[in-house]
Amino acid sequence: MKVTCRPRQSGWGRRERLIDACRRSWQKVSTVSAHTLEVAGLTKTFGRRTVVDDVSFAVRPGEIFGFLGPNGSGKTTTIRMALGIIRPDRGAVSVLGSRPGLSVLQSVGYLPEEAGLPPKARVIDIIRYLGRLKGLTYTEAESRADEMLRRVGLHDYLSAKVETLSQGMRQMTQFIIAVAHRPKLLVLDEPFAGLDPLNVQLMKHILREQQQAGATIMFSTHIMSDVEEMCERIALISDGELLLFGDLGRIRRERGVKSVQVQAAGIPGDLHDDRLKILADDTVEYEIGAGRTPEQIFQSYAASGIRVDRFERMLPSLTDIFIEEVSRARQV
Amino acid sequence: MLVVPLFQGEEDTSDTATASGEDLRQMGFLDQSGLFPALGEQSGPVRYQSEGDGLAAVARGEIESFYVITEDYLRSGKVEEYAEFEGRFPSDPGGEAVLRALLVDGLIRGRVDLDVTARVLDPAQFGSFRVASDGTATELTPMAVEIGGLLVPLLFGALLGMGLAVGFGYMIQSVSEEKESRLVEVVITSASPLSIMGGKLLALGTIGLTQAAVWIVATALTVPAMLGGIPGVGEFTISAGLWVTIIACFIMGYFLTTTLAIFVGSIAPSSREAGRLGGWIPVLGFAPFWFSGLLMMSPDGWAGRLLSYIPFVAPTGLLVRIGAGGEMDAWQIAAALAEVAATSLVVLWISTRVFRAAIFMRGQNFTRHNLWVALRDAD
Repeated sequence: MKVTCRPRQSGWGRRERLIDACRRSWQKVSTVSAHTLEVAGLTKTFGRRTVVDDVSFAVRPGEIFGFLGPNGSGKTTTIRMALGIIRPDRGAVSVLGSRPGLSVLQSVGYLPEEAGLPPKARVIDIIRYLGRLKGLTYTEAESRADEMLRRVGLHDYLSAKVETLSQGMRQMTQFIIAVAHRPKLLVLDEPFAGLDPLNVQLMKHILREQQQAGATIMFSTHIMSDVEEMCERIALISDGELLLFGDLGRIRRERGVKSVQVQAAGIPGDLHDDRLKILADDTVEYEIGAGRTPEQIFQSYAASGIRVDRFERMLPSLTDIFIEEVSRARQV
Repeated sequence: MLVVPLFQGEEDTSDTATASGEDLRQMGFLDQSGLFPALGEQSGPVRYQSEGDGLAAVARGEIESFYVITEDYLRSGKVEEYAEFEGRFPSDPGGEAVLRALLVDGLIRGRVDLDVTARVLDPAQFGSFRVASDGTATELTPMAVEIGGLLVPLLFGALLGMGLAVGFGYMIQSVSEEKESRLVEVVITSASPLSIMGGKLLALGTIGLTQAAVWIVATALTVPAMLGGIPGVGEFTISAGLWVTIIACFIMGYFLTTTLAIFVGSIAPSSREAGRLGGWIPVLGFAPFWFSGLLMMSPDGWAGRLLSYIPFVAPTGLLVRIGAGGEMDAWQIAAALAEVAATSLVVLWISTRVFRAAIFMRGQNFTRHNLWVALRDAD
């Protein structure tokens, strides 16, 4: 779904055309109340460079949504516009069914990329302060900080100054700040950056708990394995343009079978060429295309009488899709 | 102050007389003239037989002051005073007054009655009056009040100027660092720019005003004591009205200066640039002092009025004008400070919008159109 804000009627003043276009975008967004977060036709230009160009996508309630893109693709700028931090040049945003004003953002948790916590502040103080800004009472903020710090193994650093924490510890502290008020929508910009594998697993576990508790989660990343593990649906942008948006499984299926993996006692003679890759455990992967289909491969095995233990059509990985889509977009 | 109890002492057994006796024992003397054989009897000052004994007693702390009534006292009136004097204006007017009374008493005892003796000791309480061209007379204020009236407002004006410079520096650094930090993205999605800046104003204002409170208390304690220690100046107290004016000037001065700091911090691209852009603003706090010569000549003239009603200089301007002898009614002072408050509110409102707009426009060029749109949307 794409909504454009560009004015199409002539004869109006520039201002009127812009207002009308944005109104139409907003109407289109606001009629879709089923989405927790929806952006329509978001566009942002810095100087002469359009960093986000007519991007539209929607995040459903209760899902974990992956927002992908290479470095500098416009992910952070899109997130900032979605949360009303910066103003889009064009387009509209709906957060929890409303424009991203202060009242609705009270129910949103946000983890910015490389957020700079005040170095001299104590961990407990900064969590409590930002928790209170999100509407928690002093006692609630204190107890949630205590609980979450204990959960992520940072309780010993409760009274430590931020400047004494490692990068990973600061990231976990930021994460606690984002989730402490139990938001309905969590927006995380590169949440796993700077974390060791154990903390990545811990953060993913907490995110799944948040999801089970009813929260909607959107996170940006350029690490595909995280998305494959966590997300049902994705949006992919590159150079500010939306390349893909939708159900991850469907996107992979739509790409078609890229290869087949066959676990068998041997390899038929007619399949010996440079389009096969020998893997471990008597498994061979055959590239599909250029006149070769999975059916032909299966028939070759059947004709040669080789016993087949496993025959699997392989869908493209997200990494393959990412590379293919981004490369294609950059060639255009 | 000790004179009256001393002369009432012979017939009075009250606490005042007893206390005076204790004070007297803190004094010692050596009578080389031989004119005062009765001095030092009973509860009077301690008589010493030699200068060395008296000085040793001062050194040991047994007495506070030691007086040598010289041999030629009757002709010269010379009395040497020894004490552990301290400070820029070393004197002991209280002790001298007591000794003067004792000497007079010793000289004329039995020759005149007590009332005459008292008048001899303090023959005139002057009241000074200024005669106007129409022949009407108005009483002049005592010298201590005049000195204090000049010194106190000017002192507080200077302290205010310094305080504003410090407060401005803190605020401009705080705002520009906040704007540069990514944390502001979290804060701005949780609180309005007005709340954020209001919080900053309260926090830094409280620090600044606490500092000012320390200055005010210190001045309230030291200035009257300091003036009282200068011989011939007399007693000085700071009026409640002046205190209220000083405190109001501090509060309003902080309010306006820190809101200006928010404005500069918001428009500057970095904290370093902010310092460069707004470095001249704290100087405004001292601007009224440049005109102090003019104000001394004509405190209520055009310069005085301008400095009182231009909001950016009014807090110190009012104090300098009052120090120079300006006569302002309470409502005039209130109006000037209300103007400062109103200006501060306007600057605060603009500053919070600029702060929000600056975040809106992160990475963008400051074109007129961009700025206008950002300001319009910066709620």
